Amino acid sequence: MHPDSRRFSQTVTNAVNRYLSHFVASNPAVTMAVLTSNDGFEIAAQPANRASTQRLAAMSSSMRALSDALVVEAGMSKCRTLLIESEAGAIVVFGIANTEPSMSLAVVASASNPLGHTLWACRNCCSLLEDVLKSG
Amino acid sequence: MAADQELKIVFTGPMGAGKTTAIRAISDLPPVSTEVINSDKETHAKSTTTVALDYGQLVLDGGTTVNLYGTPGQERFSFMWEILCRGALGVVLLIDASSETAMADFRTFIEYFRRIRYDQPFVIGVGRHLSQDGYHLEEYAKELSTHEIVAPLFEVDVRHREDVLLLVQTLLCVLEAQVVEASHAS
Amino acid sequence: MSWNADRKLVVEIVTVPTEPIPDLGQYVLTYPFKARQALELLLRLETRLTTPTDVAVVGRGQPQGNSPDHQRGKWEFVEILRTLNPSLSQKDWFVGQRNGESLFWLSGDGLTYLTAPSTAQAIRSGTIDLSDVVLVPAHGSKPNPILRARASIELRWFAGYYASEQLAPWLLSAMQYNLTRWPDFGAIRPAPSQIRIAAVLSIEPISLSQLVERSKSSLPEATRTLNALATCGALAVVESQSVAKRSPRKTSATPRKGFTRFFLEIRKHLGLGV
Repeated sequence: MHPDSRRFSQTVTNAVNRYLSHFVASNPAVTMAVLTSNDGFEIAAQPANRASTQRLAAMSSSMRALSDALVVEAGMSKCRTLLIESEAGAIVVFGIANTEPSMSLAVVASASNPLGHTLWACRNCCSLLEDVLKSG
Repeated sequence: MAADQELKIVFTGPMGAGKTTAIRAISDLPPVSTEVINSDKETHAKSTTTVALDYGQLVLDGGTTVNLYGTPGQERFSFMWEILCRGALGVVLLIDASSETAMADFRTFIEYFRRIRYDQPFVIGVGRHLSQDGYHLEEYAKELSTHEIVAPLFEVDVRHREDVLLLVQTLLCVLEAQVVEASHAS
Repeated sequence: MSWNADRKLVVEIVTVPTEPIPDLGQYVLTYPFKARQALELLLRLETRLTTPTDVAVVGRGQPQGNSPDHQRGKWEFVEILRTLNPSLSQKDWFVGQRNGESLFWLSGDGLTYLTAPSTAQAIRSGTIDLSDVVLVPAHGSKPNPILRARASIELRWFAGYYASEQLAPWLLSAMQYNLTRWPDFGAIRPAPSQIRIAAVLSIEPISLSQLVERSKSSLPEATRTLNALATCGALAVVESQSVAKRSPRKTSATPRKGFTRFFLEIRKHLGLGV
């Protein structure tokens, strides 16, 4: 478990894991969801206890940082969402607003559901996570 | 005007070894950085850490661009090391001798980069020695010898541009010697 | 016999003679010999080498003229450095003296030396003749604490580099040379030509003439650099016929306009010199 998850109370950590678990269960297209610190540590993940979620945490933080740099280079303000589409599905990295330290939610989804629906569900999940983490 | 051709030199090494500083010392443009706040101060006290890459550039007179890439230092980002080293002219490894894990880091990076491409030009700069303690480069030299690696190993301070230039000059000389050898063999 | 006069240890390996051999030294192995005999001899040598003496090595009086002895005299101090046994601790010291004047302090482990900045600069520029320097054990004395520690590789490099424009006595132009380790160029700060020479030697064993050609340097520069590398213990000497041809390394990206132009452009851009 990453040191940052210890920064939050057990109540908050349990709530985060519950929301992620519910999010994955109620969106069949979602195969993996990882709450990540900006420096690449896994804070919470569903499914839990997989080496793949740790790698996804590190890689998604790298991609997010590159996206931030690209957005600045393009004269735009800040990267909000990063979307990678493949034939089999998509990977989306959402910034969680107003958290300290900064975090992202990385979601891997298959193409079985329309992408728009998956994005909508992800944004809802991010809002709930933001509320929980702010209260922690 | 688009660059005629792009080539690259990679700076690697553990966190805090001076990769960003080294690139900044020679890049024509202010380097692009992907530094974020370091949330794991227990492992390293540095306030920020690179999570993707540092990027600098040399734009030569003939239109050739040489990209300077700095890798992230922590092993969880090791997937970036191989990606960035692909097709590189050479690699500069920087080590922070004041770190408690300096020798372990040295071993990790030596083994990893030799596994990627054993004959890629490779120079090593060791910094932040405690000079009052005497001369410590011998420990690193012995470690290289254990791995049967003959690579440039210098004591440097990458805050000084001339030290970074020494590393780059040596890398170029090794690459040049390989090119000459290849032309004699063919 | 001249090596014995210099108090250098000599091991003689002889085959079983049909006639008695006069004037054999005290360290002799008669072939064929058992491994145990070689080990016993090595232990005797170790005892001899680790026993402190009043003077580490004393050079002979400097011969005059251009004779081989005169050439050899130029290498006295380099020989002292090469044969110095670094078995003492870092806290023990030797004092480098010339004509009774102390020039520098050398640590017992051979890794660092201390001297005034002006002396260091003179060593680096070759304006001080080191050939008649002797090393004297300090017998517990300590150097002035204001002197800054410097890597002894600097002393070794420049002592070897400036000793002579001819090859060192232990190097032969007919042999091939290969770099076994890189000296710390961070401490030495060599000229670009010297870095290039070291790089060429690091690729594969080559002769002096091949070195001159491939490094695009002059014969004196290649010779001096070879001497310096040998003094730093960075060279292996191989017999030409024993070198197996190695398959050439592949370089990765190739500049579209060719490497020659690329090296010129990048060196010019960074102010590195050719």
